[in-house]
Amino acid sequence: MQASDWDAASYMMGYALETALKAAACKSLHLAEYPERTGSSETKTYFMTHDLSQLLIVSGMSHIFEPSGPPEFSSKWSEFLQFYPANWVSRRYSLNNPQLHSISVSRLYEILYEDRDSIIKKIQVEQQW
Amino acid sequence: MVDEDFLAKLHIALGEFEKSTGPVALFAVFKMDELTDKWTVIVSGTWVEQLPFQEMFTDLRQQLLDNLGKEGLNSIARFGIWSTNAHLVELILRKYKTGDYLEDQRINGNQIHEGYILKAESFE
Repeated sequence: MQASDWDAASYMMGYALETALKAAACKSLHLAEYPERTGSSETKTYFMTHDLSQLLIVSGMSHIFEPSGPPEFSSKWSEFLQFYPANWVSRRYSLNNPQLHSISVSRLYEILYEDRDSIIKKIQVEQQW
Repeated sequence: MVDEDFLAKLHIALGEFEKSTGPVALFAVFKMDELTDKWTVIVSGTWVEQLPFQEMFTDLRQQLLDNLGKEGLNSIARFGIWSTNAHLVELILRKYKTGDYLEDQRINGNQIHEGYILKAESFE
């Protein structure tokens, strides 16, 4: 963000959230490691994904971040996800996304990290990290 | 097809939401991408850029909770609240009209398995 590289900043934020959700999934499911290298095609469908909505389900925190959850958290989730459709990782192939600029990416950073009820802070509290 | 009772309740929620927030250009429900068993609610209006997201979200959430109940709200995975000049909104408004039912469509790189357009109205 300091370099005003809004594409890269938003991309890394997506990966940060993906990583946090996968770690939460391991804790919720009592797994020693994330099941990415399994031969089971069904396991791959649920776990080997960049889709943040899908990862929310396996993390066990849908009840917090979906609209049925507390609005102080679920509103942030919906607002953040507007910039991260299922295929968000493919944006590395198309730079200078007009939706991503200093205001929108700064807001994404607030939602993810800085706000009192930020997504990452809530995940940390729920997972007792 | 989308459950008629569910749609009727969504229509009431839409009406109440418009009274409190403003005229809606687009109100649609989709089952999309990997979320095949929960709805994504898409709402758009010219007021989007004037109001804080949390305020619009909370209002919409309350209208849906009041009309669908907790179980109905549980069937929704996320809200998309977009301005009328957002690319996705423009695509939908160009292609679909109020009352359209969608099945196995691709919009803006997203796979729509099932969907219903409760309201589609361009404000020009």
